[in-house]
Amino acid sequence: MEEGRPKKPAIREVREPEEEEIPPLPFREEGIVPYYYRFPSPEISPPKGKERPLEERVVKRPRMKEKPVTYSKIAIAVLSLGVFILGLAMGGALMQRIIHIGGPAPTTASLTGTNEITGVEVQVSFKGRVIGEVPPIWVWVDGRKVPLRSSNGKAYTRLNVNKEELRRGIVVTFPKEIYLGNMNMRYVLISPRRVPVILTHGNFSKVNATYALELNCSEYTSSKVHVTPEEISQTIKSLLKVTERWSNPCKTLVPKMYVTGDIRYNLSSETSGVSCGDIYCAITVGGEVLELKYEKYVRVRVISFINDLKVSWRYGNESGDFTFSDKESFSEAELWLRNGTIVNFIGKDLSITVHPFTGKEQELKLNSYTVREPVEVVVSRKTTTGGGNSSGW
Amino acid sequence: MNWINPTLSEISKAEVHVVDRSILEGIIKLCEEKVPNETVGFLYGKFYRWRNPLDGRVYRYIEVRNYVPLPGREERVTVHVDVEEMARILPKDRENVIVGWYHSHPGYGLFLSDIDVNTHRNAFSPRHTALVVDPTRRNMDDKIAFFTISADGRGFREMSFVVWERRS
Repeated sequence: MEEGRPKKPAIREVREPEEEEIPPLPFREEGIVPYYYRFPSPEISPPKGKERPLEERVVKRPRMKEKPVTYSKIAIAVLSLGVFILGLAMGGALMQRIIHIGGPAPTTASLTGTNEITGVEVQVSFKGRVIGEVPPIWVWVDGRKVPLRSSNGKAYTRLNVNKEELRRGIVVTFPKEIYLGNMNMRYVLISPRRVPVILTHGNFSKVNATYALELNCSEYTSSKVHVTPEEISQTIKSLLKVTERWSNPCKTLVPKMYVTGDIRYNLSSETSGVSCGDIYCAITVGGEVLELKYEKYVRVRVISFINDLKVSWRYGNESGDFTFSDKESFSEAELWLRNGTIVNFIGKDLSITVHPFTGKEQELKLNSYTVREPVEVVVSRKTTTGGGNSSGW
Repeated sequence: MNWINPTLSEISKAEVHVVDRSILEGIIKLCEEKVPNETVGFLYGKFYRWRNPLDGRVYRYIEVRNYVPLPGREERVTVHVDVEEMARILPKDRENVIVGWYHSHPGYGLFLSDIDVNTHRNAFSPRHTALVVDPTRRNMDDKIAFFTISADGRGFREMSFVVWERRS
């Protein structure tokens, strides 16, 4: 090892920390007062956190004699609790009736049902995989702001509903910031007995989807952690392993565009900003870039995770179309474009435009354009007002 | 036992004791300076237990005495840790041990994400604490929270805590 360099920290195991038997600070020192405190546990419930300090008090130091806590007792208690919770969960699962709601997720949904329903669990799961932080998501339930707990790319909450509320109906409103197009939603209705749950949800389809999940891929940058794992302790190693995953939480979801050759490309800010999940579009104009020399053909490969993306083309009297298969996890097709070919990419809520690159002043035209020159490929999200069916859950 | 202030006794049952408000304020200030980026560091202190004479129960608690910001490059949702620099910093404080870690969630609230839970599970134990700071919030209730992972390592829970200050 080089002189002057610090020694490499030894790999250590994470183990239970050693404890000393000492009373808390105010019993050891005088003049100590609480400045701020919070007791989230219902077991100990002094008033919720207050920033004003309590008045100073003199406290005598107590005598301390005790036996150390045994981990076995804690383990038994935790195990018992776990078994109990597991039992509850299994029982609850049997009683649940899952309602799949197709179509674009509504911003406002009204749930009404029979008296058998005692609760509703609102679940929001993201299409595809979300790696990394899922920002807090909340819904409004009858004017109450209810946070959805997020975990593993899902956000969910369980709402207790009484009979009266059910008769009235529950209105679950999602903030506009939530981009529902990226998510699947379902409502799990909780029934106390295994009886059919009758639901009326006729107004689901009437509600338009609104956009913009607060998961802004444009803010996530891809970068690599430059470390040598061998050089770090186990603690730090784990931390770095995680931060490496932090580096690009949306990496599987960010719209990607592969362009090879001397082809200009552009991802519209709209797409890169909101499309974390439902759009994965890779467009390759290359490999056969040499064709451009003839100024006749350009090969465009479109890879889309959107099923039923229809592409049509027309050149003079010739025309054709194809629809991407939904058998694969993504669809791929190639289209040879000649100069003058008009291409339409028709997706449910995606339009891909291939248009000639003629400079910045070129006005983008969605859905179709005539190819004359080396192409600039623009993937943009078409504004939709709802409609259509969502894919499976 | 003559307990003049039972309320203080209750407060002393907190799971995390920050020995001085300057520590918390220092961490918050660091996090605020890094907004909109995240920042991360270690909490130093000791693990203790004590028996409350009032109820006879044994309470385990963490005393946070210091903090060490981890050097590195912070980004919006990423913290890249400079390992060499960290290696120089860590051995210095031999008085205390690492009792947990802190990191900021600028603008997205107080919670432990899956990654945070994994970090805690892999690097620490349920006895350690994870302080999350949202430096963009004004209200202290929304600004800081101490968490730890649940015993099964899958979830997390908020820990009770108290921040002390010295009155001379």
